[in-house]
Amino acid sequence: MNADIHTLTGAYVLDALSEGEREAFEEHLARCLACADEVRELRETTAYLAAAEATAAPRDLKSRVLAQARETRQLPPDEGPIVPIKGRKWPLRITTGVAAAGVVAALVFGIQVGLTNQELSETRQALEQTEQAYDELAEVLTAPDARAVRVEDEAGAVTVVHSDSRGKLTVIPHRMAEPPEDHVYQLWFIDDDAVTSAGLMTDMDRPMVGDVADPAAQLGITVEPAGGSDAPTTEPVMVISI
Amino acid sequence: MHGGAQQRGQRRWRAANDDVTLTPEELLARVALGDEYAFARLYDAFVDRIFGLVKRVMRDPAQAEEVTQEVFLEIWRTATRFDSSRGSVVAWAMMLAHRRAVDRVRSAQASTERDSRVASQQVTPFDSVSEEVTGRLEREQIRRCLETLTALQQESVTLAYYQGYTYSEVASLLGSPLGTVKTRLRDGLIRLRDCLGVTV
Repeated sequence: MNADIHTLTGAYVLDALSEGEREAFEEHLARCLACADEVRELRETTAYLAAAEATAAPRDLKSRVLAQARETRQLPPDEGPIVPIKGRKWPLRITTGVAAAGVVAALVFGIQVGLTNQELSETRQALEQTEQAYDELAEVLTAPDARAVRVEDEAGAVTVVHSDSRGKLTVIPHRMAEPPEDHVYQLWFIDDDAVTSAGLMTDMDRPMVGDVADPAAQLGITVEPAGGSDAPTTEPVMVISI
Repeated sequence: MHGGAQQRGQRRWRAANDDVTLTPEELLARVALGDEYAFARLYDAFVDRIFGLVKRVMRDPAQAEEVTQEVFLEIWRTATRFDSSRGSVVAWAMMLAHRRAVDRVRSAQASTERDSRVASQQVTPFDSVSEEVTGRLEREQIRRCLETLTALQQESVTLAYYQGYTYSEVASLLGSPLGTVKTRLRDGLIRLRDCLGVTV
């Protein structure tokens, strides 16, 4: 353990580090069990410092907070806010789309296409899931302020479509190289002073869509151990301004 | 019994929402399921601490109110992501509040403004607490424990936490070397931890 960085536990829980130091420390923290224990204990201690300052809040604040919460969607309990689109064999590759359209026509017009009941029910299920995923994707893509950015480098290419008004973002990978074994691509929202997990890219063929927690300046992609990390542990393979 | 099921349901509902013994952990678990009543209870439990802390850091009551509102919304939105292996709900909530207040103070201030703030600010520990709020015992305990710190530890911790200064700003305010301030912050918190009997 690096003795010097270890002494930063105090400054860290007091939020007294500069942005760069905080990032470096969090990177260290992810690998240092002793530091994590100390950070937990000192963090609990700072909660007492907060309690010492308890002050009666304005009375009308409560109704405003509750009203705002009522109108705010909670984050799903995931690795990050951006999740792969669910649905069988999404992405809707053009061929799949055409095939699906053919099946729809067959169902509507009663054309005999010779599907077994099993195939038919699987197709229906896929269509339903595709439709739901499409709705969410369409919400981003059709937003008046949707902005698309495409980034390409040796890791592959990614298109990010982002809408401030919808508070959503979609990440569409193209030809992304598979990450090393037992590793995964992890997405991060990168802001002036914080890096937060935006989710895991578990399938190189699957667009991801989700909520943007707070306006973030950039989306980064790093290679992390399987299951993802609490904070980035490697340099990003890609950084996309959003 | 007539309408027994409904009455039982009613009682359960009351028990779920009016039981004063629910811990913040239990409340947050319900908040994560979208329970607005649990959220209101958690608000009641935390608002004085969050508002007091944010106001202490930001000074301006109107801005503190705004930030307090943001903090509670963040608690609501991210309750589903709370990770109990990293600490208690109260420590998590105070961390969200402190970070947001400090971020706001740091980003809002143009460097010149900030410099003059650093230069003009007096160290004013523990003088701004309203007396009508609850938790007096806890406050007395923390003050008593703060007294066990050396003057320099106490000063450093106070400047960093309550004024939102970085440790390098604290160092320049106090004219101390960076390494000394780092150590003081850590040693001061360790002493506080031991005095308060904090365990995790």
